[in-house]
Amino acid sequence: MAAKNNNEASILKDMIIANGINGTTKTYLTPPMSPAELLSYILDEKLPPDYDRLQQKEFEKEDGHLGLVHGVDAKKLDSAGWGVIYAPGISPEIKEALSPLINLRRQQAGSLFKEYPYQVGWPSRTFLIENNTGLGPADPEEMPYYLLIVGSPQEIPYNFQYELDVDRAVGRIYFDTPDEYHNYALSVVAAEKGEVKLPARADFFSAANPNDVATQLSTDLLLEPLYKKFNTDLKAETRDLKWEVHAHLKDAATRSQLEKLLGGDPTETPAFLFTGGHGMGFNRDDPYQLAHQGALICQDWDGNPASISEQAYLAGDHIANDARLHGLIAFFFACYGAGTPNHDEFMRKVEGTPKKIAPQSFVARLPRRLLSHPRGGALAVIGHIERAWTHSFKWSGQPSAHRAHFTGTLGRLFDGYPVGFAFDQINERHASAAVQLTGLLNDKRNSIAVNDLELIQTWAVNNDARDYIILGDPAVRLCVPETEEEAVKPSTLTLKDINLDNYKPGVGVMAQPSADGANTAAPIVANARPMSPQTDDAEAMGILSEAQVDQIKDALKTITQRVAAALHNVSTLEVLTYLSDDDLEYVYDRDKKAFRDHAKLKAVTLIGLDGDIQSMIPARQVETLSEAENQVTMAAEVDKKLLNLHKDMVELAQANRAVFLKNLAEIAVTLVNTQL
Amino acid sequence: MPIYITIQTPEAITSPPLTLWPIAINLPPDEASFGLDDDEAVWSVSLPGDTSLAEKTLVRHRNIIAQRRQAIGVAGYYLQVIDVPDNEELAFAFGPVDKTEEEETLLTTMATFSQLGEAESLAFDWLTSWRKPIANWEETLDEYRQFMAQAAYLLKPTLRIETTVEQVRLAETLVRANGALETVWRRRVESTQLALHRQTVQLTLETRQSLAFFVAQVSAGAASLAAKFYVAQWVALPAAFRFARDVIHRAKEDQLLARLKALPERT
Repeated sequence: MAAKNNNEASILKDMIIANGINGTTKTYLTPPMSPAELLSYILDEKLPPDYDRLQQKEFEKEDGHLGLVHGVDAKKLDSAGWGVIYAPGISPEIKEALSPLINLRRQQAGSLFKEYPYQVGWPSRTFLIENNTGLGPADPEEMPYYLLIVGSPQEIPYNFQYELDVDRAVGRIYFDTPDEYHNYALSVVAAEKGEVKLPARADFFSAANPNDVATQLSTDLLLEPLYKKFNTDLKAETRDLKWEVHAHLKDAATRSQLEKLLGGDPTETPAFLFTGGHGMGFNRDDPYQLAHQGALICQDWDGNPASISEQAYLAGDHIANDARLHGLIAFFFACYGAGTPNHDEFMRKVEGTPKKIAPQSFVARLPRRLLSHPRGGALAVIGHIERAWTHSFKWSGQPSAHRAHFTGTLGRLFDGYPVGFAFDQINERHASAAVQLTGLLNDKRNSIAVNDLELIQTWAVNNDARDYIILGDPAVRLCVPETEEEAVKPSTLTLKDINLDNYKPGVGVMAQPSADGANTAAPIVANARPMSPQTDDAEAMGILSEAQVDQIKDALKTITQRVAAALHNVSTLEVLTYLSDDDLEYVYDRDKKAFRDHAKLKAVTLIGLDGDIQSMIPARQVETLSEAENQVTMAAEVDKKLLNLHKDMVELAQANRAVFLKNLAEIAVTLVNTQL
Repeated sequence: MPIYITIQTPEAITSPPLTLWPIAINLPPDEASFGLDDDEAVWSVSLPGDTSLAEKTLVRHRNIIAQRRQAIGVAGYYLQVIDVPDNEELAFAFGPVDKTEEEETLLTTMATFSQLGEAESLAFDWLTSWRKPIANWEETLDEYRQFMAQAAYLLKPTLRIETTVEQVRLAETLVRANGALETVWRRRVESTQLALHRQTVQLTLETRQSLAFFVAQVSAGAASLAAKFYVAQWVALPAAFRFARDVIHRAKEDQLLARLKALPERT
């Protein structure tokens, strides 16, 4: 989008505006064009390759259900089905790395789980026919609704994904190494098993750079209204779970803030993040293209394309190794935010041939890094292939915006639907625009009078809506508690100038007992079948000797006693951090089952069953020189290294408790009915 | 007496008796008899001085544990969905007479479940009648007891986790029965080395979680078997364990998926 000042706004109002800054040439990726300029391109367009399906989808709207055949529950994989499409280049090592995810989906989808090989060159139509299904609503009995493409866009083109996505929920993953695939698989599996929960928090981040029309429009007409809508909707009394909704708009949309949201500060990671702004683009011979194309430009950019620099945008290699973003789902409204095709998909012909814009089609590095992060990754990223246009939300020349496809997508996500089903709202816009466009083009070619501006608008909307994709498993959903009661409260550290010398581990002089003073045992929900007592005749039948039966009983008794002990007092979880100057060889007192006195207690955190967290980190007094008064003063300072060690252990304890107690409860339920 | 894990290089890890875990859990003799006199377990990890190698080793072990856990979940699922056909007299025991037959039948059964989403039988040819000679019965009982002893050991009221790098103890963590953590850190140690202890604790807790998960799946699976097959609970427990152990081994051998795909679809 052009760097035009406000005086030119009236001229620009009818111009066609695309997003994106070229880091190689230091200019806008696509200069604003007049309607007449664009019209010449459009008239050379042919019918979209997926026109039949798009038209079918448009007709289906009248029946009240889209994408799925009637009677299928999009929230349940054993109803909607789940499948994976492997590119030919996917090795056995990668499949092994993905096996935790594949096995889980196989278990969840049951007979509606499918694996498909892809043959190079297949358009979606051939793929469907080869697999005994056809166009129209997805029937999971024929082919699963949720489909995960595993492979690069070189092997399985983006066009295939756009086309298949019309009727089904399609996502894609592509990484460089088996380890990255494995990281992603483990991240999704952990989220699906409820081992990871993020606070119910949604953040809207949007840069509005000086003298830059595109980002001003996207902030004013898209991000800010979305924030306002969901800041109201998600706090409604009728919702089981109330959300925190945060806005980082205009001057607040700095790169440092975005880094925090993307795992740089564990207390800031939201369950859902929507960003708006320019995406970086580079020439195809630029060495930065693969690494930084699609990086998100923040408010740090001054609006002058010539001054764009790496400090102004966030790319994949800016995400730290210790980032905490496990469970995040993100939507990047930015050019090339999800990836780049090898040819220009808007201006298809330059001097008669498609313009090549990259050596090969590729997935953007930032979402790849987020999804495959070694400390637990994001679950999905929605983004744009190619340049994102203001037509995503606005018709040129009209002051009002059209956001229903965004609000619909986000609304479904917040209601707990999988990302692939939520995304269908954007596919609907693609279907509507494609059908309208085809009608207009046919009229034009048949010399029937057509409003050229309307034709241009429809063309831009069609291309823009088509190019959104999901990176990640389309069946993932927001990683938040289902109700307020289950909500995880963020860890807060209360700094107090306190003396921990008198703290008694396990006794908890600062512990908060329940109101009646009683210990609260973990709830156990029993639904397992008891052992069969009437058939306890193994010994009589000669299978087991009396001694062997006794041995099994002894084992069960021991396990039962230890499980009972573990479940006895779970009302408060303590995490204590000590430091020792001495050799640790003798720090532990075996008789007392505790550390000896030379281990100094430095931090305490108490976590209640309800998620309440109290942390006590004593500040240490350090001498500082006050510049203003030119005198030495005492200042309280927290030992950050110690604080980080302690926070790590708190997180570990929380994660362990949830999983461990669940397993113990299951054991207890089963064994309680066993005759010992 | 502690459990000792000495991790020097990935190749130095010895095969544990049960081959269920990437880490040898060698119990002292008194633990094998479920002694309750000492309520403390020790998990001692000795790491190489090369921090990068140490970190990779720990990550690798965690990945293996995660895969084992996945396989345990699959086994638990199949144990629950086993069903008894009507009008068929069943007798239940375990242990194949022929290993090849067992493997093929198991795979066929799992393929049936995967493709049809229902459990019409659990290969009763594989689960031979208890009236016939039962293969590997004593061995299975021993393994089950050993497994339960490992689980009981790691479920002791206090689990002490030590991380040592080149003879220097970096940190110790006490894990209490209710999950409370108490950690003492040695001063003047590099941050990268301190991070190793966190990973050691994580690996230990994940191993313990997986053992508890395994016990839960086997217990629930045995309850299901006992009820459906009218079999004594003392037989069903080792049988369920044996089944789950076999599934882990299949998964570990990286052959299950490939073989499932190669099998003809059952009609």
